[in-house]
Amino acid sequence: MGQAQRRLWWQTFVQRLARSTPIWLTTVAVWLLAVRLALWPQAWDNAAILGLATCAAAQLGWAVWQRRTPQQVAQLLDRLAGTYDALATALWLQAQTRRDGWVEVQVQRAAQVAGGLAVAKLLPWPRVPVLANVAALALLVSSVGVPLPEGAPSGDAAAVSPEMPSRHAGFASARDALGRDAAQLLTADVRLLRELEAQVDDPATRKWLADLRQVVEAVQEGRIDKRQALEQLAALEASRPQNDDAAAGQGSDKNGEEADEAQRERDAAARQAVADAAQKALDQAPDGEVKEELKKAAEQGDLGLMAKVLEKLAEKELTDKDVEKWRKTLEKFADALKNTKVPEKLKELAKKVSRLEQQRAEQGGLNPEQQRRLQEARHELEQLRKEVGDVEGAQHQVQRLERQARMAADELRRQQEGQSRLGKNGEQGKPQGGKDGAQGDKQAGGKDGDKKAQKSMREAMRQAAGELRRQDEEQKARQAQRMGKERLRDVREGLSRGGDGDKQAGRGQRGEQGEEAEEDGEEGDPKEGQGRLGKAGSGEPGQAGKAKAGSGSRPGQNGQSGQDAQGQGNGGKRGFQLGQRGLGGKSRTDLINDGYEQRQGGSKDSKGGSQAGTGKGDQRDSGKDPGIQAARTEKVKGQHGDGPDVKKTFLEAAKKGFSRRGWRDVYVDYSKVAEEMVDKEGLPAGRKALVRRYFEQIRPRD
Amino acid sequence: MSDNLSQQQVTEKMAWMAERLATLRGQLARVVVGQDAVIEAVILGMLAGGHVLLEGVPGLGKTLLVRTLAQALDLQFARVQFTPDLKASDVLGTQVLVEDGQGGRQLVFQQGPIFTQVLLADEINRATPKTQSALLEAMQERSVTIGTKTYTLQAPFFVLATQNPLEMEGTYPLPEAQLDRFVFKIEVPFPTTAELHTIVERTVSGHLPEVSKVLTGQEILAIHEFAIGCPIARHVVDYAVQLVHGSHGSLASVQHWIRAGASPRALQALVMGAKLRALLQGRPQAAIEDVRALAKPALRHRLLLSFDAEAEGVRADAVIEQMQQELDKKLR
Repeated sequence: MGQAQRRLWWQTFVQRLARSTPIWLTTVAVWLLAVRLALWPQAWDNAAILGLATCAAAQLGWAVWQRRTPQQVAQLLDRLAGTYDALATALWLQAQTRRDGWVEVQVQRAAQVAGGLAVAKLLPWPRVPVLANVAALALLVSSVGVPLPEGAPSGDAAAVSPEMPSRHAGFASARDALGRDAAQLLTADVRLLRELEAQVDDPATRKWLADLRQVVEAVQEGRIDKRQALEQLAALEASRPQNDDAAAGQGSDKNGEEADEAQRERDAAARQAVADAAQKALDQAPDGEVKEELKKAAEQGDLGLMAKVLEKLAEKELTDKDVEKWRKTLEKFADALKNTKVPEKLKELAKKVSRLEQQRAEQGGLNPEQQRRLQEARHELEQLRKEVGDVEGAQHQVQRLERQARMAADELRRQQEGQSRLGKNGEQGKPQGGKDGAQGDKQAGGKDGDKKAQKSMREAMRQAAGELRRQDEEQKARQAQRMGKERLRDVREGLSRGGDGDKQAGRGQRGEQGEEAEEDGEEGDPKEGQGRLGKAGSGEPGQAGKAKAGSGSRPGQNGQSGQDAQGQGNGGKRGFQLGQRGLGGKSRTDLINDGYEQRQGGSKDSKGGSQAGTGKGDQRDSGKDPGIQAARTEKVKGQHGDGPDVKKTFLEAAKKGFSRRGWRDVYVDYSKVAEEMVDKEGLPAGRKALVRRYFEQIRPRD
Repeated sequence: MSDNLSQQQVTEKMAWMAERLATLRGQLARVVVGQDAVIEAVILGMLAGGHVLLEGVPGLGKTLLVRTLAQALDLQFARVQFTPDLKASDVLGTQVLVEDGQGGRQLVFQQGPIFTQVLLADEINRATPKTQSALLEAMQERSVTIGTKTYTLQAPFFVLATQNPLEMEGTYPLPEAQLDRFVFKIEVPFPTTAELHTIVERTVSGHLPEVSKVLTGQEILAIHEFAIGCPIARHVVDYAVQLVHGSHGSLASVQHWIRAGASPRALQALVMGAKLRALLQGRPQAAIEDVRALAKPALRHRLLLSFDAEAEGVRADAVIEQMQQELDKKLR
């Protein structure tokens, strides 16, 4: 009986497994296929894996869990052997209290019957559906082997599952550690690093980027193993050129990312301050092609272009009048740089901080609504302090340029004064040498003075251009380093996690989306760009502000600081914020005001408003401080109530039709909505990264 | 009681019983050609202490079987030909006025044919319901009440009734209460060609074989008592219970065919019949196969089919088969 019971158990176990396995395998295969073809929503991956695992467990449990009593086994044997329930009856009688001749006869007969039973014959191994199992397995294998579409992001999105088994296998190379698909994503990293190399003039940074690119390429091509890759990446991180400005010392206690962020903020603020000062100073400049070019470069916040134009100016022959005007321009430029309103702004911020702290103290232990406000106030306070730090850092950078401009202007003034003296000397010689002699002396003295003035002018312009170029290159180098560092960390993290390519891809994507923000700054319209300024003001919350602001926001086309911000972003959110800040064509102080006032608007309504930040940056020249005035008068009007939900707005826009808009335009909306959705939804980090990587891959390129 | 029997006694008694019943079947087979299943069912019904209703077209040997059985049994035998004008008193008996030797008169009960041990109620469905009902007490209580006096019938007593399913005109279908008294209803099939040949040879020869009395009333009672002691496993009883219960709607597949299901008497008939069948085949244990084999005789007359079944020509046997199939599925 025991033998029959064991045999039956195994038979049932095998049979159940054989029956259910094809279904399970087919389900897995279909799911994998759907994932590979990007038909399966990534948000449901975890649920699918959990479901499949549960099914597998249930299947195994079903196969193992067999409630078959000996009595049932005996009945089965009786039925199969045709023994008229002899075994089952005997078993049942043995379990009863009855003991008489009948029971003995039954047991004896059952023993005889059992002795003659051939269990193996009665219970032959059932046929298992081998064909179905093989077919299901083949389907599974083929679904795993479905090739990804070349460069298709949807295919990348499906990369995780098929790689899962290999994560448990030994890694032959760093590429194996990352996973095949994740390693393919390194192509974008390599491309980005090449672009950065081309953009950067600093030899050390360029070399560092080239070294990093070579390591990433080696990982991508599987030429080095995981250990080597990690070692080389660690060495590269340690050898990263340190050309942060002096203000970076303020953040020495911060971790690397925070320090980078602070540096980026300082760079952006400095660039904006220089651009603002240049725009103000250019009012004094003589009209002409150079002035227009400089204005345009200033509006774009392109310090490199400004330097180029200045160098061009240095080569031109100028009249005395023009030289005088350019001298005044340089002086005004220096003055404007000196008065970047930073100290004044600091005072304002300090007052605000003090007021908020006082407000916080007063509101302690109050009702929930007041507690909420207090929380907001604390958050704003933190943001303000951060802004103060940024402004101070920016001021440090600007000071050097201001000194250079001032020195150039002073030198020019001295030369002009010298020229004037020479002219006077010529006139004094008139009584002695007669008219001709006097005239000749005067001409000689004047020509000599003109030449010196021209020379001084050229020298002054070259100095200013040199300083501008130097600042531009330094900022670009720092930006490139930050982006390279992000890539480095992503790859290293991916390797460390033994192939969690998703995570790696995600971090890498953030960095590249910083570029997207930069492009936003170049192409949007100023008004909408200012809306984003407001959003950026709301802080980490900047993210929340972004969501509130809705899809009405578009990049500021004329935003100087947008250009300033170019390449500063080293993270998805940061990149967006940065680009947004640069979209309004505002001065650094305007930016701060915008953000601050926007926060005020937001505090009235925690949800913010889509119309927030509609101040016009191009009014900065009117009034005493028109930029600030404009921001204050218009941006405080944060609308009460929820702004239109981004998702809804996006869907409505989609209904109207994106097809008429340029890809570059819709890309911003797409990526923005996707970014917000990714942050809102409870997606795994790997999936978020894939979404970001997808938008990196479809990013419009020049 | 058989509960106290030793193993040897059980074995011996089983052997004796098998031998006696084999002899009885042998005697019957001398007269009745074929019809083994019918003979077995009749013997089982008789040994179970119940009554058997034989249904078949005329000329299949129903009466011959019963008469031969009566001859083989050392029991009193009576035959009543049921007709529409048959009265209850014609069956039970009546009180008649008789003169005593002293010139007085008194009512004396004149026993009817029911006062026997084996009663052949031929074409029982031809009698009126009133006359049919006269058998109720005798069949269930083994007694007859006339006026205020009750007469006990001599044990063993069993009724073997026959009915013709074709000639329905002028007949009175047996009421459910009476049908339920029959432990088995046996359908007598038409003989096979081989059996027909044998029937012709035997009947045309003019020489009817003699039948010996091979089983007494006491022996029948002893066998009955012995069979009662035969243990039956729970799962076998469960099968019978589910079969009976299934006729009341628990088996979904036949629910719409049945208007009223089988009574507990059906369960008793199934279990007792299964025990006897097992012993008849030399087995000490009743099996599900025994219950399955007796399901139709025990249930077919106890199922009251629905209008749908009647309209669609579904017979009770088909319903029972369906029930068995469903139960067998559950067993697997």
